[in-house]
Amino acid sequence: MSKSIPLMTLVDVAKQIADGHLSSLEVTEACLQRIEDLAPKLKCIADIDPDAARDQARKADDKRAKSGATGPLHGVPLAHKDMYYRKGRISGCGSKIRADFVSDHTSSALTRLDDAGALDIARLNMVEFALGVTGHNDVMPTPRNPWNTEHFTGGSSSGSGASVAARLVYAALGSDTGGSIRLPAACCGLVGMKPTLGRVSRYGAMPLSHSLDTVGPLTRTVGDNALVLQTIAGEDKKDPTTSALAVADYTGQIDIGVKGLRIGVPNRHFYDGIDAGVETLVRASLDTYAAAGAEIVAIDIPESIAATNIMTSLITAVEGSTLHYEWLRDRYDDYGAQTRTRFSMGLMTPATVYHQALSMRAKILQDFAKAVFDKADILHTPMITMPIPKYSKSDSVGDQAFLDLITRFGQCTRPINYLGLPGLNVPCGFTDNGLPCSFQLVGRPFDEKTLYRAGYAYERENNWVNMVPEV
Amino acid sequence: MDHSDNTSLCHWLSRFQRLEMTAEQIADPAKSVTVFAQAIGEAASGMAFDTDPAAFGQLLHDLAPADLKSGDQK
Repeated sequence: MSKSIPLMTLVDVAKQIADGHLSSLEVTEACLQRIEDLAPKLKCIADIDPDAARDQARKADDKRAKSGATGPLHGVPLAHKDMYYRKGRISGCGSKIRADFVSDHTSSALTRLDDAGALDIARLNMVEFALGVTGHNDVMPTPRNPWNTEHFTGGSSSGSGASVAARLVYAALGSDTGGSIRLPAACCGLVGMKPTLGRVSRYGAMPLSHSLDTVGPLTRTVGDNALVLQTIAGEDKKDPTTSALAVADYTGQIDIGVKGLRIGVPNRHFYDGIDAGVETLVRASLDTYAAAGAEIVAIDIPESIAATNIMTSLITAVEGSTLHYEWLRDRYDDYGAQTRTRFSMGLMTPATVYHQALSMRAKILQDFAKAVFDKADILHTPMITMPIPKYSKSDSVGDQAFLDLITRFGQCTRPINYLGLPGLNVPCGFTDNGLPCSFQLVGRPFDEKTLYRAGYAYERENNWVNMVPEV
Repeated sequence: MDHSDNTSLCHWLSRFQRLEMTAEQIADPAKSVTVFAQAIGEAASGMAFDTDPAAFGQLLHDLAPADLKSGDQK
C-alpha cells in the first residue's frame, strides 16, 4: 500500500486524507521513503528535514481529528522551487550568492497553501536565480529528468519538474518569466500552468523581471493543477500588481468537455523548425479535440509575434540586471557563466530602448488578441518544437549550436510571457527518444478556466498521466 | 584593447537579440545604443505610436471574460 500512495493524484490523496482513509503521516512517510530512494539520483531536493515533515503531518492529523480538514489540500505533502520565502528559512534561489539567505517573511503563495492545509516538506533545486531554460545550473546541483537522467529537465523550475514527475511530492510551485513552469512541465511530462500576469501574488517570491514574472503550479494532472491554482489565485494587498478581478471556479465545471469550443491553430512562428515526430504528436492532439466536438480553426498570427522574442529577452535582462546590479559589481565571480552573461546584456541596454519594448506591449497584445480571440476561444500550439535534448548540450555559453538550441527551446513560451496571457502545458505522448512531448493551450487574459476545461478533456481521452517514469 | 572576453556575448546577442555586434561595439556603450535602438525600431516598424506601459495592464483587464469583471473576489 505505502508504495502505491505516492502514485496517487493530488485530488485523490487529498480526498483520502479528508475522509480519514489515509492519514497525513502515512502519506508523508510514503513520500519520504520515495525521496530517500530517488532524490540522490535526481538531485532535485535542495534541502529536506524529514522529522519536521513528520511533525507537520502529525499536526495535520490532530487537527483533522479535532475539527476536520482545514482546506482542500489538508495534510498533502508538497514542496516548492527554492525561491518562495518562508520566514526563518533559507531560500537559496539556486545560487551561491543567496545560499544562506533567510527571509523575514513568508510568500503569499505559500501562506495560501498553508491555509488550505498543505504541508511544505522540502526546498527544490532550480536554475540559478531562475534565469535559464534547460535546467542546467553552473553553481548548484542540476536536477535530472526522471524519464532519462541524461536529458534536460527544463528550467528554471527544474527541481519542481523532476520532483513531481518522480512522484516525490504531489505538486510544486514554479515561476515563469519566459517559460520556466511550462518547459520543465513539458520535459518531465507534467501539467504546468503559467497564469495571467497579475493572477497570483508574487509577494515573497524571488523577483527576476517585474514585468514578466508569474507564479504557478506543476502537477501530474489537469485536475490537480486547477485545485492548486484555485488555492493561490486572487488579489493580494501585499502585491499591488495582482488583479482585483474575481477568480473563476476552475474545478467546478472542468469536466464539461469541449463540444463547440473553438480551438485556434497558428499559421506562423509556433511551428517554425518543428521536428517531424513532435509535430505528429501535437497535431494528433488536435484530432482528439475534433473528435470530442471542438471546432478547429486556422489563425493568422500577426507578424509582430516575431518581435516578442527580442522583447522578452531584453526586458528580462534589463530588469534582472537592475535587481542584481550590486552583486554583479561585487560578486561577479560567484555567478555561473550563463547567468552573468545574460545579466551583462541587460546592463548594456539603454533605458529608452527598454521603455520602448514595454510601450509596444499593449499594441502587440491588442493585435494578437484580435487575431486569435475573435475567431477562437483558445489557441493550441506546440510547447517545445524538438525532442528533449541531452544535458551534454547545455554546459556552454558561447557555442553556436547550444545557442541555436535554446533559442528554439523557448520559441513557443516567450511570446506568451510578453503578452501576459495564461498558458497551460499538456502532455501528449513520447517522442522516439522516450522523452515526453506536450502541447500548449493559450487563453484570453484571466481565462485559465477554459484552459483547464480543454486540458481535462484531452487528458481523459488518453493514458499519459498514468505513466510513471522508472528512475 | 583586447575584447576577446566579449566573444561569447557576441554570440549570445546574435541568437537571442538578433543583434550583430562586434566585441568592440559591446565594449563601447555609445555604439551599443545605436544597434539596440535600430533593432527595436525595426521590430516596432509599422506600429502606431503607443501610450505608456500602463496601457498593457488595463488591456489585460479589458480582454478578460465579462463574468469575472462583475463578480466579487472570492
